[in-house]
Amino acid sequence: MTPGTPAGAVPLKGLARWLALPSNLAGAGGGALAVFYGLLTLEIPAGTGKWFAVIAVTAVSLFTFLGDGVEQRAMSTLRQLGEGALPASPEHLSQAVREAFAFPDRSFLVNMFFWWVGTLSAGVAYSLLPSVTWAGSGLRIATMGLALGPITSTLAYLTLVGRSRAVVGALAARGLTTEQVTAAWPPRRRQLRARLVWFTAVSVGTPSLLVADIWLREMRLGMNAVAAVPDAAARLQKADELIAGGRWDLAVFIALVVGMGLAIAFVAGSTISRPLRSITDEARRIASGDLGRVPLIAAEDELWAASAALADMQRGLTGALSRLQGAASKLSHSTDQLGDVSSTNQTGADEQMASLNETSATTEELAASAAQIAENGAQVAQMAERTASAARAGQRSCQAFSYSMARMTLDNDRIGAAVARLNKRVQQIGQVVEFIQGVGDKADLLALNAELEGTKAGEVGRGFSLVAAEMRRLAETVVASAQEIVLLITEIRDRANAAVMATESGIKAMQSGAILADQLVASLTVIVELADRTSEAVRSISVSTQQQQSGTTQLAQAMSEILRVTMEAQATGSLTEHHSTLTALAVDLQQNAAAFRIQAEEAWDG
Amino acid sequence: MPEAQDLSRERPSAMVAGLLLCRAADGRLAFRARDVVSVEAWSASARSPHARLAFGFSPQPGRALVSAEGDAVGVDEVAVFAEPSPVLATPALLERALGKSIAGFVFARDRLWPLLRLSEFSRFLATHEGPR
Repeated sequence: MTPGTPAGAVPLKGLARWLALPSNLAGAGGGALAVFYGLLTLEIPAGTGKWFAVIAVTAVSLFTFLGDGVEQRAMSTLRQLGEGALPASPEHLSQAVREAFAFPDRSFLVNMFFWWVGTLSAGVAYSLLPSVTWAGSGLRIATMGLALGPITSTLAYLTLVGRSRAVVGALAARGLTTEQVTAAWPPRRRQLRARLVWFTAVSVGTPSLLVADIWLREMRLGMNAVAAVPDAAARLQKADELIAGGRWDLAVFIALVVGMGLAIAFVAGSTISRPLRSITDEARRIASGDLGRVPLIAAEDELWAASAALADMQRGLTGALSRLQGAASKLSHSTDQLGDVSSTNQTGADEQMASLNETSATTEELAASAAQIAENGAQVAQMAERTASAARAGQRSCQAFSYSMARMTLDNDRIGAAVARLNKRVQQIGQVVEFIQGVGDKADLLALNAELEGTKAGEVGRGFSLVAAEMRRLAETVVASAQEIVLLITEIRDRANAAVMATESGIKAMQSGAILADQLVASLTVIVELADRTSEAVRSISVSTQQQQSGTTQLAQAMSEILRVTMEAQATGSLTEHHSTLTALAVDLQQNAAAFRIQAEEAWDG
Repeated sequence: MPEAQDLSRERPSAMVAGLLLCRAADGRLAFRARDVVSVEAWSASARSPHARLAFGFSPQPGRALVSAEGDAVGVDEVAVFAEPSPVLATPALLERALGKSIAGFVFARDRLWPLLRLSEFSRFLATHEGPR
């Protein structure tokens, strides 16, 4: 066992060589058979026998070697796994599985190709000898590939199928599950019928063809030998000798060929029946209740599909039965609980009967209370209606107040704007008065200077001074009046500013009042709505109370009915009976489910 | 009136005609009309001193009396008094104390007014002017 090989697993080293060995043996054996057939049927000119042998041995050796090389290249992953060049990871093992599964078909095609190429090359090479013609011997050697190639290739294929299954099993034992092998080589198109047709055609057709060829040749040679005798009596004697004379070598060859045909039929049957037997055994095992994991049953075509389907079926059944066993266990547990509950119910039924009498008396008291509640409910409904009316009236008043507040706010805004305009006009008047004041002051100054000049002039300027003095007094009067106007304007401005501030304060107060009024309207709306709902609810309560009053009588009747039914149920004990039946069913289900043996690790896979 | 024209310190009983009677704060001032070239408006931006300073008050806008030399004095109010008024003499001590800006006292409108020389009084105020 190589390092890293699991216990019980076949080592991978040399598996590729072991797998391809039947192909090489079939090639060599078929070549020997072809040489034997050539010696029997060919007319080998004198002196060419040695060359025939050399060409035959060379062709068989060369093309067997070439075929083996091609086949080994087709199993590169399997060979590297055996040599330890690659780790035995699931990816490499899956690739090796694909190579092993594909190897028989690939080997068949390689053998057929090199059979035809080899016999054609040998025929051409032999016909190049001086005394040998292509039509006489070369063509016959070339056609031997058509006759012997299929039977030896088919025999090799059937031998390889068994070995490829063994290689797949060895690879799976290194860590691949059946699902991984199925995923690596999924079931493909259905070819089993075509293969059986081919096996039959090869096992029957090739021996028949070769036997017919030998017989026709011997018949032609015999007829020529008889015809070569001149005397009639001697011809008859010659014919009798030929008929009586036996050819043991021909019999051996025919026996060999027929034996190969029978071998193909036998091996083909074994190849098909072996996985079928395994599948049948596994199916019987599952049917007997053993739901252990189905081992890998390597096969081809429909048989591989059946093997994969069997594995899927086993997994599905395992999951279903696992769930069934769990359900049976839960059912049994629930049945036990049901038994406890039924016992409790039995006790409770007695208590229930005692309680029913008390409940009947309580029901009568309930009817009296319901009548009182109905009367009170009508009064509450009237009060709720009055409350709703009052709330609606308050809502309308509040809405009117809110509207008035809004109007007052608007008016205050207008007043504020008017006062602001007035203030602006007053400022303009102040500017005009200031201008007049300036003019008066300048006039006063001019009059003062005029009076001064008049005074300087003495008696001559006295009149002028008097006029200037009057002018000056007039100017002073203007300035004093302007000053009074300025004072008035200042007072007006102060009053206007006070009015503006008062207006703004009033506007703010109005806005606060408007907000409060809106909030009051909203609150009253909610109150009205709640009052309406209250009124409606009270009406509903009143109606319900009346219905309750009438329903109380029906309740008493229903309680009498419940009392009667309870007494009957207590008398029959049907619940206990059903519980017993259910318990028996649960036990039966558990026993049936337990009849299937499920591996612990598979119990909850599905 | 020759007496008024020849007014001097040696003749205390001389007459004067043509006065400018002024008020600065609660004080009274008199100037001869011939000393004043013109009366203008006085403001804080003017460079001329104000007579209110002589009475211990801060200046305020009023009138400015301008002399022929360009000197000026600010007052609060100005009135022209054309009637002749006697001029009373001034003690020499007072005259020297006021920088020779006072020419005497005149009696007008039932009140006694200090008669001042405009240019000298302006320079006197400028000399003794504090921060305005």
